[in-house]
Parts: sequence; C-alpha cells; structure tokens
Amino acid sequence: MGLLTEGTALSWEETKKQADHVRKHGIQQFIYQYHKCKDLEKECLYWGDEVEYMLVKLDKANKQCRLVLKAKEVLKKLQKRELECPNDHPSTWRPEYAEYMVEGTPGKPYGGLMAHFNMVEANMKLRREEIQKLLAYDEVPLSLTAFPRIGCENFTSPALKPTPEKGYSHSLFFPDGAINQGHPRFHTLTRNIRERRGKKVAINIPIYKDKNTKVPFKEDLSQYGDDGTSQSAALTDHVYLDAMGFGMGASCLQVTFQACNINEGRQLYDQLAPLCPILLALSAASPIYRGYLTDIDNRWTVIAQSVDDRTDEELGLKELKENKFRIKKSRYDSIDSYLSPQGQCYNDIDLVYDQDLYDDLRKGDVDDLLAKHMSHLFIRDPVSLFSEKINQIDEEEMDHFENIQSTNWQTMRFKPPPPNSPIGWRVEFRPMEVQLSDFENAAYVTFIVLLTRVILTYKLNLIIPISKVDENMKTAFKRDAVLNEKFYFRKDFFTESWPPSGEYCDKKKCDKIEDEYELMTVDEIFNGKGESPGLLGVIKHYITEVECDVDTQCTVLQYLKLISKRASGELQTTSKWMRNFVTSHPDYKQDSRVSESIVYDLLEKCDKISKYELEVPELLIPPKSKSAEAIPEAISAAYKLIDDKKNSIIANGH
Amino acid sequence: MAETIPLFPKLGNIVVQSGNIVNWNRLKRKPNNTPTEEICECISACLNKHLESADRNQLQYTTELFCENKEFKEKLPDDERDNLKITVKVILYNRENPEVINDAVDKALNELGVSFVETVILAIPDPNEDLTVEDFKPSWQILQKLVDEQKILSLGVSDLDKTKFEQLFTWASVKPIIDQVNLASCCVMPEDLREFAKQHDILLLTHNDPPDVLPLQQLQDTIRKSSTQKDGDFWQPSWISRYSVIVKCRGIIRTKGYVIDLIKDIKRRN
Repeated sequence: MGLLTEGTALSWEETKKQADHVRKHGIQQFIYQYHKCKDLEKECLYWGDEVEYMLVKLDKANKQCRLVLKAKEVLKKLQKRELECPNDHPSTWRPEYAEYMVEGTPGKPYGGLMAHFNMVEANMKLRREEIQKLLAYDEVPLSLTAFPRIGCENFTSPALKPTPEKGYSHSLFFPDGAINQGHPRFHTLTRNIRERRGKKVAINIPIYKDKNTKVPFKEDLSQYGDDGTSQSAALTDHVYLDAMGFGMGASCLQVTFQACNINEGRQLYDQLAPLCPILLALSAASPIYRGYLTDIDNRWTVIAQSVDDRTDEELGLKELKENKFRIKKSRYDSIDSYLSPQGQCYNDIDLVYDQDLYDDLRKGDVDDLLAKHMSHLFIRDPVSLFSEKINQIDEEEMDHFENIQSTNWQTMRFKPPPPNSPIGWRVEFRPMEVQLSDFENAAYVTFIVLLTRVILTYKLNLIIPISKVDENMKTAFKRDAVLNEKFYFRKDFFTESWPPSGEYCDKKKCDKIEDEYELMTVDEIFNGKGESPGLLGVIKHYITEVECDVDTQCTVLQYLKLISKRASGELQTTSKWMRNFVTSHPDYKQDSRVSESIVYDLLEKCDKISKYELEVPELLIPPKSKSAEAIPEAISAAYKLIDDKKNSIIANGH
Repeated sequence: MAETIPLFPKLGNIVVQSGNIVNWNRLKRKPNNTPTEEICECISACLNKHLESADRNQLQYTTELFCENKEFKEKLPDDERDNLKITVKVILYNRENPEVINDAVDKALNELGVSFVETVILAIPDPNEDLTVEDFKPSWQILQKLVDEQKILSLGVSDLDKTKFEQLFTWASVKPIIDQVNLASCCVMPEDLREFAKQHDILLLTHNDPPDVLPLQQLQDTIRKSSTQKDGDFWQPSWISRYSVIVKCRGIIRTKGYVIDLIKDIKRRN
C-alpha cells in the first residue's frame, strides 16, 4: 500500500528536481530515528498478514468475468467501523493499486501465543464476508493473484477503453480508469515511472508453447492502436504487457512481524531471505496473463518489469551521462544484501550504492552493513511527491525516508519504527502469491511466522550467498518449479550456537562457503532427507515442545500438512491446478489462448473453493481447521490466575 | 563395555540433571527424537560424562549418583523472570511415595534458580488404564501444599478423561486448570471433555508423551550401554521432571531440560 499521503502530487519534472532533497533528507530522517530507536526493546512478538482481494463480476448468463471498478465506494464502507471505533475493529482496510482491489489486514496484530495461529483463518474469513456483503449478487471478492484476462477487451466493469496516447499508463490494454481512483499516489507513480524511464514499461513473459501455439509467437499490436513503439518493445514468443497495472494490479500475501530489538530484526531479515524464492515457488498461483497461458508460474517478473523505472543509461544500454549509476535490478525485485553480522560473509553481489549518502550514514554512526543497505535503496529517485510534504523537520518526520523505502519493493523489507508510535523494528516477508482460500493463506502465513519462532528457539542458520538466492529467484519463476527444479539451500541449518546479540560474526574466515549449501528439491527442503528433518520436521518438533491448546494444534497440524503436500508435489500448486484446468477444458484449442468461457468456468470454481463449497483434492486437503475468532477463554483465565498469584507473591516480598 | 564386573554394584539411586537441552546440537539429538529417546540420551550423556572421570574404585562403593551436565546448567537471570513462563511436568512413577514430588519440584526450581514456577502438570503413567482418581489424590495433596507455599502458581494433570478429571476437580481445593492430552487426539477430542473444559475454563493442552515415557527395558539398556550388563539390572524410574521455559509473549522456548530420578529395586537385587 505504501505511503498514502493526501495532497497535491507534483509533476515528474518537479519531482525529479527534488530527488536529491528527498534522498538527503530521507537519510537524515533515518539516522535520527535509528538513534532514537536502536536500543528499543520490545518484549512481545506482534505480527499480521495482508491479503489483497480483487472484486470480480461473474456473469453467469454470458459466461464472462469482469473486474469490478468500485474499490473507492467499497473501501469507504469497509473503513467505516475503523473510523468509528479506532480501537475496536476486527479488520483494517486499505486501498491498493487498482480500482478493483482492496487490501485487508487483521484489526489487531496477533501476538506470541500459539493460540494466535488459530485466529488467522477466522479473521481472514471475516474479511472476505465483509467485502461480500457490500457487493452485488453477481460479484465476489477473490484472493486471486492475477486476473487471467487482465488487459483483454472489456475486462473491467464498467468497460473502459485504454488510452495509448494519453493519460497515465499510455497502455494499449490497461485503461487508466482501472487505476485506483481514490488516491493520487497510484496514478502519479504510474505516470512518473513512465516519464522517468522515457517510455512506457515493457513486460515480456515467455508464452507457454502448446501444440497449436503460433510459432514464432508475435502479436500484431497495431490492432490495439499501436504506432510501432510497442511492437518494437515486444519480444517474439512472449506475451507483451505495457502497464504498471499488470504488475501492481496483481495480488499477493504478505506477513509483517515485530522483532524484539533491531538485532533480532536484522537476523530474521537475513534468515528469511533465502526462503523467498522457495515460498514464491511453493505459492505459485498466476500462470495466465492477458488471456494467454504463459511459461511462468508466478507474478514476480511481471511486477518487476511493470515498475521498472530505469533509463537506458541505468540499464547499461547507453553511456552514463544524465544518470549516476548502472543499476542491475528493477526497483521491484529481490534484496541485494544481508543485514546481520552472520550474513556479512554471504554478501557476494556488487552492491550499487550512493557514496555520499553512505558517508552521511557512517558519519551518523550507522554501521557499515546497514549504511550500505540504506544507501543502496536510496539510489532510486522518488517517483511520487506531494507539495505539502517537501519541507520536513527531519528529527520528527519520516515522509522522505518512507518515500524511497516504500518504493523499493523487495522480497523482504526492514522497517524502522514509525515516528511517535509504540511499534518497534519490523520485518516484512513479501514474496508469496495469494491463494484462493483462507485455509491456504492462513497455512502459508502460519508457516512463516512459526519458522521465525523456530529459528530463534533452536538458533538455526539458513543463510547462503545472496547470489545463490538470486539464482533461486530465477528458478522459482519456472513452470512447475516445485516439482522439477532444485534450489540452493543450506545443508545443515543447525548451529552450535548463535552470537547472543548477533553483534559479531562467528566465522573465523569467510571461506569454504561452497560446502555449506547444495541444490535440493523443494520436497527435501520442507520434508527433509535422510537424517535431516527439513523445515517442517523442526517446526513439528517445536509445536510439541511449546504450550499449545488442542484446537490450535489441530489447526496448525493441518496447515503443515498442506505445506508438506504442496512441497512434495502430492498436491498441486494453484498455478499447476489452473494450468491443468485450462488445458483440459473442452473449449481450449491447445493454442495457449484462454478464452472468456474458460476463464468464467475457472473463476467460478475459484469462487467456490474460496467459500469452501468445493473440494478439490488435487489442490488442497479438506479445509477443516478449528480456527476461531478469539483465543479460548481458558487461556485468558489461566494467565490472569497466574498473574494475580505472582503479584501477591511480590506484594508479600517473597 | 567389555568388562563384566559391574562398575557400580552398590548404586541404588541416580539423579540426572540434563541442563538446558533446547539447542539441538547440545545433545547430538536427532531432530526426530521421541521423548523416550530424548530422556535416554540425557541419561547416557550424563552417565558417560561422569564415568569418564570417576574413580573406578570409589564407584564400587557409591550408593547415590548425582549426574549433571554442568556446561548446560543455566540459571534464569532475575531480570528476565517476569517475561518467562515456566512449566514443569512431573511424571510420577513412584506413586506409592508421592512425597518425592517435593524433590521433583525443588530440583527443578534449583536447577533454574527460581523460587516458583507458573505451572506443574502431574502425570502418573497408567499403562494398564486401571488408575482411579483415588490414585491421584495423595500426589495432589502434596502439590496443593506446594501451591500454598507459593512454589507453584497453578496445577494441571495429564491424560485424565472427563470422569476422572471432574472427580479430581470437584474434590481438589486447588483445582487443576489444565488437562493435557496426547496430540494424536487433538482433532477428535471427546465432546464431554470439551464441554466440561469450556464450562470451567479448563485448558486442554497437547503433549507428545507415550503412556509410558521411560519403559523399563529401554531404561535398563540405556544404563547398560554406558556400563555393563549387570549394572543395568533392576533399574526403574522414580520420577521425571521435565521443565520448559517459554518467553511469554514471543513464543520462544528459552530452556528445556530434565531432572530424572532412577532407583534400583533393592528388594529384587539379591
């Protein structure tokens, strides 16, 4: 969702003029906040999930699906409760990039009890019901990663015509009206990214080559009004897309959690980073774009290309004159460095960073790793800026920092405490694709949070060279990566010990690193191999050792079962299931085209799955968790009893 | 192990303190260890360590052995105490002598360096499923006294069905607030127990212990592996204290360990 300032958005030219100002002050704001908060200790784990939904119209009579453009009005109603009762609302709602999307999070963050894992699915269900109540009889909220016919003719309701020659996107396929209408940020970003780049974004996705697919595959884009520029940006044998909406109009599943202090935050950021490509592959749910079956299983490369604001110089296509750096990745992509001393030896990518900002950070007494991380994020220009927010008091405000921080969309995000807030240092896990049902989404979210508890309890170390994590990312996009590919993973993730506060690296020399990792299948990573228990083995052990009530145990075991079977291939990923649905549909002509009728049938099924009205044994186990909206009364009663007794002991001077 | 002369023929009591074994590599635990394997590993590790440096002659006359893994001994720092929740599960084999519970709890308190624990859960192995609530009452009275002495804040039991639990609940002056059940049944809890628990705010928690967590054969074989065939004869568990310390609102297990009290059935020795 990012920074949702209200106000007057500047044009790109004006924004560009302020770029250095934003960067310099953003870094200063970070330095102040860093020093204010670097010794902050938070006793409690707080965490929450973010689910993005699309509003879909299922037109049964005509067997058509449309994305419904009514986020503004729906959000207004969804947010009513939060506005009226700011401390007592079960869910929190925010706008997202598209006018057909809403984003929901739990009203209160979850905490550190096992019993909290039993609340996740129930709250997600509640959110879905809240949206459904506000929709028409033929409209449904779907937690769908990518709408299969996005960019096809009349894919929205109301139907809108794209405007290739004017507006924000200049897209042949994506009308500006499909961008969020309630907030200037989204179309401002769209326009500024395009203007910074000097041309509209170009997204090329390898097409899935089926028996009757045209070879070579190259669409005649003039039929959409192209004057030739798109045609030259479109690659052969690829599905061509040309707007930020194709990427940012996709949905995902994110988890944010609060660490107990900055060092733990940095440790967990590093420990989860190698999991990003793997969870991306495991959650794969988006093989279809603009009505074509593609050769990728998930959205990552689509979004990366959709917000790629790099100029030709930065891309290395021209000599550097106007721009300062050659930049290797889009501002939406995987992280480039580890933050903890444990991870230091594994930073083997050449990091591009701003030397002046780095020096400012070092002068400001920020350590080398964190300084490099920040000055690397801050090579980017701000791509939206509001006139009211240009001049800030750096000691008290953080908008410039957030501006750049929130427009670096990476697999992980390390978040400093916001100003004037009780919230601590946080880590955001961002790669996962959203699944169709709340059962599945709760399972993936539970897995990640449980894994962090396990990492901290047993002092695991999952770190591998960051260049290998990047290689894993490329592997993760591939069709059926979970089944057919291998990923670099740490061989032995049990350590003798952890440096107690992560303040030093306990490796004597940074060598023999190649012996620490090897290629493994997803099955081996999760379910283990030989003596190694795999990630699920360690988690299962943890939940027998930690205090857990019967319902939570039942629920969590089912979630782990789902993850285990997805990892072993016994259950299909959502992506594979969708592919199979398409290729075995009677209307499919083996030409990679996914027609309206096929999409209708597919999404009708998706809707039923999301409402638990349809069992699909090849996709998921029967979703029979014991999730409930609140933790058992008995737990609160027990805690109260114990606290009362403790207090009386202290009172008696025991 | 080639020796056939017993190493400790007069030994009648072994107390094993494992120290903090939550960190995997400390025990060379295999990650898929069952509780039984875990307990036996603790016993082995302690015995082996002790026997390494013990005076062989002295051992011949030793009647009691206190075996502790000093390097894993971790007293809990005072300034952390408030954030921690300590649970001790006392698995009482020696229910004819329930006063050993005092020892079981005290040793755990000492090991952790604390003056009280939040919860003690009482488990009495019932392999023939013929125990009644009467078999629990003597032990429960000992526990209630410890609650009065403020060494324990709350009590629970393990593996009691609704009938026995209700009987205990009704009779007890310090009522159990927890009933632990084996996690194999977590999805299929009997309705009557659920209902009772709901009405009286009883926590139904899961555990992963088999009905007999330290079978005689396995215990004796474990001792034999570290000594001789004869040294393993007639040993049985008196009680096992498993303590676990959780960082309350972070869900991290800080400490886990065992105190294991083994006795030789002296009557049968001769």
